[in-house]
Amino acid sequence: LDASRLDRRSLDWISREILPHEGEVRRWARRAAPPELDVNDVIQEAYSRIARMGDPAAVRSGRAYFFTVARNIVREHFRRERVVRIEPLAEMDQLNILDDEPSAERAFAARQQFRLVWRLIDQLPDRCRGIFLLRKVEGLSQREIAERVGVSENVVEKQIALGLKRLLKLMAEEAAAPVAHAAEPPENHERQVER
Amino acid sequence: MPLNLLRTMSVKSSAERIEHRAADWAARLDRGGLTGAEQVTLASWLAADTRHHGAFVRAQAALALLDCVREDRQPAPRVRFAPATSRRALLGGALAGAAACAVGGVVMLGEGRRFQTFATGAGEIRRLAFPGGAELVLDARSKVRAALAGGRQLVSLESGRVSFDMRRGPTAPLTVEAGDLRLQSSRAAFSAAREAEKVDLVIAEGRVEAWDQHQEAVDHLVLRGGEEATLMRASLVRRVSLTSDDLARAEAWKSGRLALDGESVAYAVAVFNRYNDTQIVITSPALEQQALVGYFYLNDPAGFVAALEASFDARARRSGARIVVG
Repeated sequence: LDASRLDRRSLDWISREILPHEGEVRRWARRAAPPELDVNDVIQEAYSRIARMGDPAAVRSGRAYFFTVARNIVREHFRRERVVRIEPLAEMDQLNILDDEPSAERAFAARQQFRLVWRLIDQLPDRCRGIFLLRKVEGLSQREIAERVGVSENVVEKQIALGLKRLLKLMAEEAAAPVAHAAEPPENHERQVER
Repeated sequence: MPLNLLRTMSVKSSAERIEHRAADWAARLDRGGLTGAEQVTLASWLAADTRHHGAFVRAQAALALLDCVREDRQPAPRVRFAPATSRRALLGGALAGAAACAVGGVVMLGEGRRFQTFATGAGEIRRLAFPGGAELVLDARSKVRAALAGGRQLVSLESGRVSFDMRRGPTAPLTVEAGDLRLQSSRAAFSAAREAEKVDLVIAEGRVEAWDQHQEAVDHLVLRGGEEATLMRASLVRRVSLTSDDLARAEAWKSGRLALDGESVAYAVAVFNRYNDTQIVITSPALEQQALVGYFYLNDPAGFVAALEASFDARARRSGARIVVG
């Protein structure tokens, strides 16, 4: 497995085309997967497969692709267990997954994601938020942040990890609360996002 | 059974633990290039489970998502290592990944018995595999150390139960140690359960040799497919033949199921309670002695209790982390 060979382009593609649909896929998997199959496992497995896919240019719709991969994982589980479970399979087959999505929908998902990011950043403890903004808005490296703030590089790394864990958790929780209840991002940030 | 290797079938969710570890790695990578030792550790971790890989991709993507707030960005630092030869490579995948790292000028993990430890918690069943070799299933609350060295697959069973399957093709010889007991096989399917100095063996197929490490010269005990044996401090104390039904039931745990054929409710409850945080309590002695037949999912105590209610006119109520049935 060569996770780290994942080039910047694939990573950007996953964060742009796949990540915004995670909540939706999670909600589907929660209904379709049998109780013994952890939805988190399905999602993690799906990211792994998507990352190993090769050229993302061949994929027309990240959303449909994400659904297809997740559905295959659930199906394989049923086959592996050799246990006939009629209900969830039937439900899964009835599920209508669109092959493509309107671009407006995609733009909406991406926008939701931006809001999520800003909501998260706003929720971080002061020190952690400051470090995140320096890293992501100012574009300083972790080392430069350490120098600027006057802490060790280890502290900076820990804070980045802490903030990232919160983001990942929030992304999973979005699945439970699909309707955007996000606060509007701060004005100045919004403009940067929109550009 | 198409074992999708590297995959851990985890009854209890360890997803959050994986998520955190992945975030730590993504943050570390965001800091800059990894040291040789870190590359090795990361490579082993990624190779150990596709969920690790997926979680790492997800964490990196989430961090990259934050870049949307800034247009000009520097390229992210990357670590490179060659892909493991096979997706099925778990232990070996880790080692191959580590060896590949050495190309970048770092640590060599070639020779020597370098063991990796695998442990499971309550209700967690893990599948592991040597590259092109034995496939292992590690039962809940079990611990093994494993290594590939000198063309041999080495496994040390510290506690709990593990099964080995080498039927998929010719593999390097496998040596298992459990206390003083040594087992060896080159083509078999069997499981070993260890409780202190007592070891239970169930041989599904093939041939397994057993001996005491201090008595290497004495004739080795040879066990064959369809046999079950109990050894105490490496001495045989019990040996029986199994029917194919017995075998199927003895192996049910590997797919996260409990197979019952006339065992008591009390027995089944004890097994469920070992696998789950949710504890079942039976208040009626008469119910405890009822016999059960069927397969049940070990991670679904509520489903099991529902079956009890349906079969024995029992009533269940939840009380915190307990389900009380009477």
